[in-house]
Parts: sequence; structure tokens; C-alpha cells
Amino acid sequence: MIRTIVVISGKGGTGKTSVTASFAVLACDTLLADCDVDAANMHLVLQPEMLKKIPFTGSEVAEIDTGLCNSCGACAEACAYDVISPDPYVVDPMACEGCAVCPLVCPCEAISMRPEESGHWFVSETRAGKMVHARLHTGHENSGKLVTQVREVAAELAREEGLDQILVDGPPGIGCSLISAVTGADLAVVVTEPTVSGRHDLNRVLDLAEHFRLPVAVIINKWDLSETASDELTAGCRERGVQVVGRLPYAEEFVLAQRQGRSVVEKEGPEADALREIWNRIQEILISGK
Amino acid sequence: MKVAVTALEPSLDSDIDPRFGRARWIAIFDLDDDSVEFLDNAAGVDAASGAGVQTGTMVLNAGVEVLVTGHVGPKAGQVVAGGKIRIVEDSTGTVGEAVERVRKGDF
Amino acid sequence: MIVALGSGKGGTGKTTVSCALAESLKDDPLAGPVLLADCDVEEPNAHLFLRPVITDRRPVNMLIPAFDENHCDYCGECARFCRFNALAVSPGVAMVFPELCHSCGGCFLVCPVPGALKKLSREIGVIEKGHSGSLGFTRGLLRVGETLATPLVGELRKTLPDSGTVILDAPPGTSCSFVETVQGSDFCLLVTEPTPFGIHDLERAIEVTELLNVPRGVLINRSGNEDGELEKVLARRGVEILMRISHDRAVAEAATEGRTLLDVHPDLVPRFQSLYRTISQRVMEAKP
Repeated sequence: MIRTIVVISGKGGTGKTSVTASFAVLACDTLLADCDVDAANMHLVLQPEMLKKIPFTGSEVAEIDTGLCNSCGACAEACAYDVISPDPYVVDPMACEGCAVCPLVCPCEAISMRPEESGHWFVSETRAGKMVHARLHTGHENSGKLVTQVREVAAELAREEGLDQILVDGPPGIGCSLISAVTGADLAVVVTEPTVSGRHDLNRVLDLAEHFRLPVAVIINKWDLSETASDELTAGCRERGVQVVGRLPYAEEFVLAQRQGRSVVEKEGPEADALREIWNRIQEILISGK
Repeated sequence: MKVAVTALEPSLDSDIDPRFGRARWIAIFDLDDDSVEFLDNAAGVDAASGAGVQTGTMVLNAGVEVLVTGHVGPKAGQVVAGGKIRIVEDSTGTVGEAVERVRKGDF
Repeated sequence: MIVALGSGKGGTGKTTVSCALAESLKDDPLAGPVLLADCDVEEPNAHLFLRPVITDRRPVNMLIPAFDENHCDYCGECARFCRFNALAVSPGVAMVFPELCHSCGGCFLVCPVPGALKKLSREIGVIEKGHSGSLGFTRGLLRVGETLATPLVGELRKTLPDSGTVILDAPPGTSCSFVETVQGSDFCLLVTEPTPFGIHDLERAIEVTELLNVPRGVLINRSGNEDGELEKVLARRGVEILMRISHDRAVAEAATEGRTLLDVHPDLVPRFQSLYRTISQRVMEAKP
């Protein structure tokens, strides 16, 4: 059985990717998947060598043949997303959901559905093992579907390579992409910070995890910005029955590591020690199933 | 009785596809006349969303009583359960072996 | 004038700057009435710093189908039509998976049996309106477990006034809901930090503003001795740096108590007012 750990945050900028990249370096027999597809950053730390680049066609979009269109406006009227504009009638391909209602209502068969390439996904080799990642074309929809694609390719590749763990860098938020990234995971590790935004967003993510019955563990990053607020966060988690697996300091080292293109654990120091300890604790949780 | 088995390839020697919603092929066996048919599930594989719903509906429409596969997702599970199909998960080995197990009542 | 604040990377200080800009402008006669609209509907945070009084709250609903088993003859037309596989139909079985439904309405159009599909309303989130002193406030809040953030942003944008100054706090990232927020804005102020992650994601955000034809400028947050790489990228892309805010741990510490950037640095008010004037000028210049 392949285990999937997904690192998420709710709020952006809490250090999620720095933590994930460190875990990636520490992990053995693990496949990496960067599911933060519209702001993917893992490759900046792990400098992957691309093995495979595959176009991603998320869905179809509608296209109006102006030559056949009689400008009746039935399509614009029926479009639930207001993406068809008149004079002459055209579909905004970037906003089209691909529902195919407009060709259904068009009286002159002027509308057809065509596949739309909305990004690429890649399989790469890194110093921390193989990684599946992706890039959405600028301004394109379907990030949730691309996330699903990355997760599926990762699962298949892990099976092929005989790996027993997948480590996912998740997107921020609690919407479409996030839900796609955490679906079916064995553990979500939430990286938060002791600011009011961090706490607020953590609670929304924990609500979501509860909704999907997803096991979670929390890491408090930048804990020393406020010891009081960090203690409150820990207490809040305990009340919800959620384990805090460790704290990390507010340290220049995180930015320094980024600038040097390495993960935090690839240089000795208190931050690296803390991350190693947290990773071991996460592995214990997964093995004991608690 | 009809049995569905998810398959990586349209052959009795193929391994069972561990996925249900995005299984490449669905083998439909009719144990009464020993016939087998491989349904192409390209639509499920390529579905942008709801692959499990799509594949589940296909299996329902095939009129099977037993489904042998690796893992059935929650939505597909709901669809298949609606048709009162018995689901055998975590199955490995070849498609042919799976059918033999069902025939012997060994699952 | 509508100014959207984006960033690409999360946590660069978008909300901090949105709130500070709005607070700095609320009594500035040039800006007119100022409204801050929090468009980060998945994780809205501006209210934590502005502490608005909420005076109006309305649900945002999507239309979803439901089967009436007394009428449905299980023909399956709806399920075959649905591009999102939100419907499953087989003799004796008819199911709707609301979380897959995009509310396109296609199933209702193709159903040949009157009364077989009923229209149900499903709440995806709420839109709140209120104020914090003389500053107007509005936000969208996605219901936990819902995926449709973009339509909620769309609904929120429909409620915005045509006059005065509207500041949009955009979601992080560069896809659907970010596009929905920035599209049709007069200007996009990109808040970034001089780190490799910040620069990488900023470039994606710049590309989106170019595609949407929205004029743009950058505010460098946590600015320090390492701005060089970022400056190079911006020069190459021809994007103007409109303001810098120095790196200061005290601002991050203040955020643990819900205190704002202006609480720590009240001297920034005139600089934000002058930023607004520069933006107004750039908007004028960009108008054909």
C-alpha cells in the first residue's frame, strides 16, 4: 500500500514548500509531487532534470464559427458563465467551462467543442528522487484537474518504481485545487504560523480536513514571532484533537536556503535538526496509524 | 451471473487494473455461457472529473453482480452500491485468475 | 477606480498592503469613498485586521439538479450530456453528485420527461458587506468543502460600485479565481518579496496581467539588500517598481496580535497616498 503525505497551509507563505523540500531530501523510497500547479516552487530548490513533458488537455472549450452564426444570441442567453459576447458572437476560451450547453442550443450548428491544452505535466529526476510536477498555461482554468492528473501520474509511477510513499506539496486555500490535492491522502501536514491570519486559515483547513475525514498533523512555523500566540495555537489544536508535531523558528535560514537553491536540511543547524525531528515524528504517526 | 474485472489490457492474462474509475479496460464475464467482453474505458480514463461516476454507470449498465478491482473511490462506490453489486477490492493477479476465484466462490 | 492586489506567491503581504492602502485612502478626498473587497474567498483575512461591522450578509447559490423518481424513466440523457459526470443513471438508479456539478443547466435542457429533474439551490458561500469606520468593506466566504471559488468571486465582483476607489485583495496563485479578480480592474498592484519563490510566482502573475491587458506595477515588500535579482527581472519585463517597504520583523510580530502595518509604521500613510496618485496617473496614461 502506497502512503500519501500532503503538505498544505491554508494561508500562503507559511513556509510550506521549504518544509516539503526538506522532507523530500530526508525521505527514502519516496516519490515527490508538486501539486501547487499555479505557483510551483519545488523545482527551484530541487533543480530537476526533466525526463518527460506531456501536454495536459483538461477539458474542451466551445468555438463559434462566425460564418455559420446567425447572431440569434441563444448561446449567450444559455451560457451559465457569461463567457459569450456579441458582435460577432465569440467565446472567451480562457473562461469557458466546457459544459457544451451552447452547441446544444445553437439553431444553426455553428458551435463545436474543441480540446484545449491548458498546461503540461512533467516527470523529472532530482537529487531527492523522482518528481512529478506541472505548469498551467498563463491564465488557464482547470488547475484542480491538473492537480488530479499530477496525483494520478505520481501514484502510477510510485507503483512502477516500487516506492512506498508519495510526498505532495499542496496548493494554498481550501477550494478546488486543494481538495484535489488532499483527496485520498493518508496524512495532511499543515504548516501554519502564529499570526491572526495563520490561525484563521488553519481553522478553515482543519474544518475541511474534518469534512473529508482526513488525518492531520500541524507544524507551527515562525513560532518565536509570539510564544503566547503559538501556545494558543497549540492549545486550539489540542482542543480539536489535532496533534502539533513541531515548531520551527522565524529564521533567515529559510530565505537563505532558497537563494542557495538547497533545502533547509542540507546544511547543519538548529532549523535542520528541528525539521529532522518533525519528519521522524510524522513517519512514526504514519507507521502507528495514530 | 456476470462479473466485472478491471484490466490493464484487453486480455485474460492482463493484470488487474488497481484503479476502478480510471481503469483502462473493464472485462465483463458471463459465467453462464463462458463469454467475455472487454469494454474500452477511454471515457473514464480521460474524464476530467467524475471518472468513478462514469465507470460506475458503465458497470451498472452491463448488468454485473460482482466487481473485482483494486480500489473503488467513494463516488464510484455509491454508484455501484446503487445497483447492489458486490465489490471485491484489493484484488491482484491476472484477470483470468480473478474470474476463476469468483467461479469457485473463493473471494 | 478598481485596483487589484495580487502576488503569485502567497504570504508576500498582499492583505497587509491592501488594508494599509485602504486605511491610508479612506479620508483622502482624491480617492472618494473607499471600499476594500476581499476576493480571497477560500481564505479571506482582511477582516482580521480591519475588524469591520457586518451589516449585510447574503448567500450565493448555484442551481443543481435533483431526480424525481416518480417521473424519471432512467433514459440517461442527462448523464450522457453532463461533461462533469455529475449524474449517474442506469435502470432503477438515478444519482446526483452535487460536488461535481458546475450548474451549467444542460441536464434540464436535455431531459425529455417533464418533471423528472427538479431544480435545487445549493449554497456555495456568502457575500458580506459592512464597514470599518469610513472604510467600506465586503468579502466573499466560500463554504468549507465547496470547490467553486471562482463563481463566488464573480458574484462578489458584480456587487462592486462604479464610483470611488475599490481595492481588491486577490487570492494567491495565478489561475481561475485570480484571473476572475483581476479581469476588468483598472490596475493590478503586485506585492512581492525579493526571494526566488517570490520572483518566480510574480513572473507568472505579471504574465496574467499582460494577457488580461491590465496595467501593472510592483510593490516590493520585505525589501533589503537582496533586491538585485528581482530588480533585474522587473527591468527585463518592463514593470515599474512603485514602492518598497523595508523588511521588519516587528511587522510580522504585530500580525500575531492582529495589529496592522500602519499600527507599526503610521509614517507610511503619506507614502501610500502618493502610491495611489502614481497608480491613478498610470491608469490615465493607459486609457486610450
